[in-house]
Amino acid sequence: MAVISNGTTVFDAGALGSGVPTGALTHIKTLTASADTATMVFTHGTSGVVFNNTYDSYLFKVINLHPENDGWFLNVDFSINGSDFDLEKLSNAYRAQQTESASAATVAYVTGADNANAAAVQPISFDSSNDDDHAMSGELQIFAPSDTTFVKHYTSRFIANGSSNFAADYWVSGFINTTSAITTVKFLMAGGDFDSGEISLYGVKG
Amino acid sequence: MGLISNGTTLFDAGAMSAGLGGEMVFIKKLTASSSATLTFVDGTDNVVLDNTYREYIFYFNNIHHVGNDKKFYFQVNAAGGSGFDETAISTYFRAYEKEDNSSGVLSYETGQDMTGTGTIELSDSLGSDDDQSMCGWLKLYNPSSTTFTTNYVAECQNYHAGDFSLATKVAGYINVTAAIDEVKFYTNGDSFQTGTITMYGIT
Repeated sequence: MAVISNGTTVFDAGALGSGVPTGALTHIKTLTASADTATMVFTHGTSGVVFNNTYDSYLFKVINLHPENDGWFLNVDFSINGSDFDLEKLSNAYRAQQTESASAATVAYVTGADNANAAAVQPISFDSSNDDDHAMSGELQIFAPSDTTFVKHYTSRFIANGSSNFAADYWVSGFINTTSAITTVKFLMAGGDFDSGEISLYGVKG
Repeated sequence: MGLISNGTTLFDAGAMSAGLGGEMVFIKKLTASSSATLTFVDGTDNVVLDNTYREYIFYFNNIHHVGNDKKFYFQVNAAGGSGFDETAISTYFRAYEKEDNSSGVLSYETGQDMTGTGTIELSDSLGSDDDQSMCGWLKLYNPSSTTFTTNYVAECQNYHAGDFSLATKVAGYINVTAAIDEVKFYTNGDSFQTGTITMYGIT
């Protein structure tokens, strides 16, 4: 049954009408990790994932991602065909940290987490703890991934319990140095798997 | 009466189904009026702060202080707790520039981060000039979890009492595995004259 008001279809076929204004943040897909989840992958056109020019930018929200092993980076990588993850990136990385014993407070550039036109993965959380009550949360935003004129910019910010019991505030920004459309985003640990946690993909309307 | 279209419930019990109206859901706005504290308590005055949402965002809009050179804090209570004194580990760094272009700075501030049960500082030296205020946001991730500590991140932009633009970046975790169900914003003396804090949930 459709609901039509003043000539405008408000609802039809179980969905809001296209002319009805809604929020600018649209949930697309949530992936949930369980024990021994090696990668969490979002590919346009697969399992309900939209990752093209439908939205101006895409936001990944990571909630309480818990790694199997201690002390490894959380990485992200990108592909234009779903199988080859070898795109060059140019990025910067820095972090603020404070230990539970208040012994090592600092903000500093992290040379081991940036990329200088390297085809390597992009670290977005740098020293993850696998203690039972520790996890990492944060956001990665990718702008206009299907654009074929410009490179693809991304920014991220994560908060994590560091492996040596510290609060770590991780900041990364950069661009994927390609003018091809990005179709796949993959999250993985540098060592070991994920044990639990969620990654949700949202589209941001312009 | 529910409204069902093609098998999908669009409305029921006076509410729109989740996701139809957007993923960022308004929960509550508090408006300061010489207020010493602005507090959000789950189950009180329509505030929801439980496992309904995985992420909660508080936006600060033009917080203006009665007195000059005051700080902006938050703290939380775990379910059943009181006193707003949960243990937290918090980082704090800032960037600022003065109106006379004399001192662009980026620095970590060891006196304003926190390890312990004290106040969690989000911004510093709020100016009380008529045109001075502070804006920003705080995000809490999955505060109802009883497995993990509760992570948070915040950013504030402040017209500092010393007449400069101050950006503060704060992040940390509430170091308990109990659910967090109360959040309080406050200051180090007198009160917030005007301004709003608006709470949202992310579906």
